[in-house]
Amino acid sequence: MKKLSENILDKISIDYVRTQVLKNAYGNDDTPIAKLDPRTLLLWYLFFGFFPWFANNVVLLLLLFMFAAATTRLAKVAPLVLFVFCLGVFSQTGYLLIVSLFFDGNLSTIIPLSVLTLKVATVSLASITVFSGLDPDRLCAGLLYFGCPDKLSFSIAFSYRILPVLMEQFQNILFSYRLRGRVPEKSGSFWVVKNLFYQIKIIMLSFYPLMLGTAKRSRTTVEALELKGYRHSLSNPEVRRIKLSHLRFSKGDFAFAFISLVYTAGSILISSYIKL
Amino acid sequence: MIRINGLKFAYPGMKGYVLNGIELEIEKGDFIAVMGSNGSGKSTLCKAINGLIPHFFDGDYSGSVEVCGLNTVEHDISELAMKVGYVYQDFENQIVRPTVLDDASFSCLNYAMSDYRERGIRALEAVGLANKAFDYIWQLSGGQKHLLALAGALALNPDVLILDEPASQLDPLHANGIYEALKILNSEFGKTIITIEHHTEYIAKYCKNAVLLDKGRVIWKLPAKQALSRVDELENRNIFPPQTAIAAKILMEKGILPESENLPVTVEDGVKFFSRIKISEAADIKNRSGFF
Amino acid sequence: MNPPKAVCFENVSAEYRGIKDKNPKIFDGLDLNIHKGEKVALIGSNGAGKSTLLKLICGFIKPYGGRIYVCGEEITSKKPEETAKYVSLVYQNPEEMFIGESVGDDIEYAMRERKIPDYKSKALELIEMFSLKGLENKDARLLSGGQMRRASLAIGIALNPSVLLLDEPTANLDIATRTEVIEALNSICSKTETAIVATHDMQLVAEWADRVIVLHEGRIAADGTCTEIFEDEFVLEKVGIMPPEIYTLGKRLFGAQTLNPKEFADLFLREREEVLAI
Repeated sequence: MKKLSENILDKISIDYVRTQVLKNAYGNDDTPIAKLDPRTLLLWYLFFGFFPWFANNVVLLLLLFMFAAATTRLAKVAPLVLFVFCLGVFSQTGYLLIVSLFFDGNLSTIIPLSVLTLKVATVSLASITVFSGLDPDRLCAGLLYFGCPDKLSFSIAFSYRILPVLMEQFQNILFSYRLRGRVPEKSGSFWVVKNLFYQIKIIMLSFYPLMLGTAKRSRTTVEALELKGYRHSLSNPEVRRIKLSHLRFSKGDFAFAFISLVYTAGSILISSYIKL
Repeated sequence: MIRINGLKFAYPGMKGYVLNGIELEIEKGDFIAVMGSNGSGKSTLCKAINGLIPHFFDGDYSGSVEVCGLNTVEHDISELAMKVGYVYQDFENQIVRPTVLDDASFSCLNYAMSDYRERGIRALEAVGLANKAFDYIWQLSGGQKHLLALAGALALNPDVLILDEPASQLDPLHANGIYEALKILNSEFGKTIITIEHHTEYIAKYCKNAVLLDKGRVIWKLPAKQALSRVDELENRNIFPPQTAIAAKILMEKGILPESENLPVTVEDGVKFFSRIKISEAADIKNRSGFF
Repeated sequence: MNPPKAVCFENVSAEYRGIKDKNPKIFDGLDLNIHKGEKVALIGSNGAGKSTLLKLICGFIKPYGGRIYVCGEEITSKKPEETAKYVSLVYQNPEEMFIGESVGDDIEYAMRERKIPDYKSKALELIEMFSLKGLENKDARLLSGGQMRRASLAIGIALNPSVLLLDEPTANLDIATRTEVIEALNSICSKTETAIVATHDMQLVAEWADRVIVLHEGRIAADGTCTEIFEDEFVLEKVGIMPPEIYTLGKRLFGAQTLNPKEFADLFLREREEVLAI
């Protein structure tokens, strides 16, 4: 615990986070998932992101979970994202199991909790596959096709563009706090907790100057967007047509859709024969 | 090409006119520097040329600005953007897409040009970044990002390019890269280049003409070398004239050199100028001693 | 008897975390000694490692090999809060240094956190010293470029560091504010002992630095006085640096070193006297 609090800021460095996020977005564009048409994946997600909620059979859910996990593996998602996923699932359901065992529960509580956990996990993995596995531009084109406003697509691409800049500024601001601040005294009670609080506090405080700096910078960006005709393009249907013109279904898309369909049908069949 | 008559502008809520009766003509194919102390109206003047004033910025506006035959009040920003490209001093903030080619071709895409990618590539070739077309923005150096911002401004093939302090990042490799690219755009592609610039060594080396602004008015427009010889006027406005010119001025004030309108403004000029003085003085002395 | 070392690098290696799994090395076994009282300019093209070197000295970046000592103490694995006892870094972008609510607050911040007695009067002194009177209650981000730069210098020396590091203090400044900043730099050097400036501004180097270290691709390409470095044409060309114009002019005409127009004019007059005397 002591090492953890001492080293939060050193080990989980900003550089690492930035690298992982960018790698996740752009470093995996040669996977089978990335090569699919974004429309296929979005439609796939519409199914895999909702159907599990309505299923209650453990076997079915387990099979669906395995399929979602396989697609996530295929998409070569960055470790940090998977870590956040595990954290999310645990904080939704995993802790319930521990708490229930603590309160005189037994292993029969596992089955219903598994149902919930598998639902959350399957849906999360499906989201991760689609939203992390795809290149942001292709994702945005897919969203645009299904009627999402262009401003959303632009914002997604812009946030990736601005991420390295923001992270560097954040690091510098955080460092300003560290150079001018004061660490809690090493002696004294509860040093570990105080230190942890100190580190979390300065991370949070660093966001304020970051936002102010961004507001100042955005003046040029807004003027530049105007000069580049962005506002003009929002009301021009021809622009939308051009942006979507490179979307094309391929054999891979039909194969993926077919496999998903067959697998799901097979899972439903199998789960109706096995009773747990 | 650019004709400005009686241009006056005040930002809303601010006392006093930032532009106070500008009269200026810039010919096609010129490479002109706009000089002036802080607050003299340089950036505001440039924004009046590309149409941000009056279309994007409200304020008290009078007078007329005509760019390539288009009056800036009667035509909107999108039409003017085809004629005038703009590169900001904080050029990083005008790069909005994650990949190089995407950003260079962004404006063409917005104007629904179906060959937007080819236009982007042509712009990248013109500034020497074509080999980086598929790189990500964060992989570029500062100088390369500046060139990318220039390519983005160039993609719509405007006749005029305006750059706000391109040499303010002091790294000489970076500043030279930009100015060399501008030189090619001016000499080979016939673009009219307007730069807001403090660093007189670049004005001396690359610009054909220079304008001095003060408190929203044009004081003069002169050929670059003459402009930079006006050492006192420049120093009074916190512009540092080329060191060569300052040295020549000091010697002129001491009476060693004859008064002249054209001081040396670059190292090359300086070498020729001072050598000539040395040689002619030595020749003078030789003659006199020969005579005696 | 050598003066004590302010900064010492022993076999330091550092790398940069890349995105596509490549971690390019910035420094590989770098050795460097900077003595107390020196005014050092670090020059080199972008990417040579100037900013990284400064960040290593104040503990922003940790090396993966070697040791770093500041004022005799090893800081290789120390936290930035501890290195701040000796070192202060003034960023290239002053806005990233503003964490208080106003200029006055920013200058007081470090002293207040460390419960330094009389911090308010010390802050007032600094405000006077950097001509920021009347601006103490303004948000620092709303100041002009030159004012922001002066404010960042005031923040930098608030804790009286023994080693002051400055990253491009004259970048993006117009000539008038540049002159103000150089004056401020000179007055600072009476308060701190050692100053290291990373810069592209050769005129600043000519006017201010005692010692110039040229970095190129993570190695020290040259190390000497300003005039020694400007003499070394080979290094300058390799690294892509140009001395101030007046220096080049003086060199070409008289083979002598002139660091500003006045020196050149004086030299010209002396040469002329000699020619006339003949």
